[in-house]
Amino acid sequence: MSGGRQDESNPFYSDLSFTNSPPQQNNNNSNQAQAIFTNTNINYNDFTNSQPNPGVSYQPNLQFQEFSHTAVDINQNVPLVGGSGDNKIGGGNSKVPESDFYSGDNSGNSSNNNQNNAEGVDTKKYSFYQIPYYRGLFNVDTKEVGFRLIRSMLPIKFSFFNLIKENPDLYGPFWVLTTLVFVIAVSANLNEYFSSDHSKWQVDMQKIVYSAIAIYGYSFIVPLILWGVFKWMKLGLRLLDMLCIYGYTLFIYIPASILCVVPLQLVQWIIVGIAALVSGAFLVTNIFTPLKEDFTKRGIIICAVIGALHLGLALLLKLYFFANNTENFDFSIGINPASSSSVHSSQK
Amino acid sequence: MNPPSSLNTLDEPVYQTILRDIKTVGFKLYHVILPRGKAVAALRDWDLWGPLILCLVMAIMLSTSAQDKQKALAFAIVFVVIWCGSAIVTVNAQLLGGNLSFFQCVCVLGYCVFPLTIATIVIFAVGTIKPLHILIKLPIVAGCWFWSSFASYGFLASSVPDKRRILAVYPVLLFYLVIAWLVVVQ
Repeated sequence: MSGGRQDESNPFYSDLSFTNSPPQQNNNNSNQAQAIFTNTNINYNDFTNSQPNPGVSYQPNLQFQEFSHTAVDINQNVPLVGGSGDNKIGGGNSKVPESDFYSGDNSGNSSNNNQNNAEGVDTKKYSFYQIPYYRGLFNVDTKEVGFRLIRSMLPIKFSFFNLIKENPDLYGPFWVLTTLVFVIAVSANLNEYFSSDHSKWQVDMQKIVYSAIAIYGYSFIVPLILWGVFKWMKLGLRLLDMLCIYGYTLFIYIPASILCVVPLQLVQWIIVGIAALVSGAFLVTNIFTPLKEDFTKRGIIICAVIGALHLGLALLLKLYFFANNTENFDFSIGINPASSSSVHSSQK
Repeated sequence: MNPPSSLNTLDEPVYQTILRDIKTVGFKLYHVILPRGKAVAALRDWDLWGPLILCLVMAIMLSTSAQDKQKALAFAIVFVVIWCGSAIVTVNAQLLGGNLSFFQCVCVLGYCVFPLTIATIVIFAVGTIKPLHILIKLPIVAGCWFWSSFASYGFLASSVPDKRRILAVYPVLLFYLVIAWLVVVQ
């Protein structure tokens, strides 16, 4: 947490509101969950979307607080009102205060939740081994997750980093990946089932393990390496951002894997191709846009590597998990079955 | 044998102690089978014996019907999915802001596997005589999946704020869906 000095050099959150945001007033109340992701040198105070009162409304108040010593009462109120916009990074500030849970299913309460959470915020410090410590990472609502999931399937010019800037969550990524692992395992087994003799078929449990290794490994190791690279390039990007974008990127593979149950090679290639294109474009444009001006050369290289890895994942899915009925096909055409997977890929 | 005093459980015979525990487990299972609101109260004092038994029964049956090479793997997957899965679902609900006790939730999720265990036993028992077609298995297991999810829905949904209910319930559905799939493909 090194102040806002490096913010100007951080291209990942390029907002217009960035320039008129208040100075680094609140940097010292940095939230604790954020502290484990050490590269947090962005300005948390400015954000534009999904919150009703942007920086403009509380800017005068904060300045007022700084210069005036007489209006103590107002100052004590001001941070609370402004705080409803301030707690987007989560940390100790869970969006829904504890008092709401005890009050039961009061749907009327939830409408003004944004106001409530300012005073309902638990200022208690949690240790890292306590579960509430990590609540900031799961600080999302149903609508928000749905919006992000839809967003991740639309690779049009749009900065995903700006969307998740104030509140990167791990809920979406984790459950997207877990669902994907399961769906791939099921789909792979169904593919085998359709291509094999139905009475002799038995489930291949190994597929679950392999898909878990592939999916979890891909979407954890690659962001980790990228984060390391960006840190080395002195770009202020959090590990959380990378994990978040990679998790959401793979969302489109869930419907794609379900559709890949169709036991037709051509259809499967088209489906996997579309999924790979959409998610790859989403990933590459989002990462390349901020790098475009200052780091053109390195940006191109990095994005090429990202795209290649993503394509590799798609090929792995198609050639390993959805590789169906190629054996029967080989024999019927008369290609030597010994020439293995390259034949499978070139089939149709 | 002396009649046990009602206050002291140290003096009672072992079989009575075991019997009492079995009765508690059976009582909870009964409430899972007939989820009528009282289930939450019945599962208020948690134990992990019931989930362990259900999990072991299911894991052993599924592993015996797996491929020869993958018997150990099948056992491990069932075991890991049930325990790690319920733990992750619980932690997920807690992280979303739900206030529930960890072990109580794990206990509820574990007991609610019961319908799926019944499906496993039925399919296994019938399968030893004549292997069932997948189209017969599917509706049985789908029904049991719905049953399991329904039984545990009330418990989890009530502890999480309204705006996040779906976020907390979806992992539960996925959890039982994974188990149901493991049962179908046995």
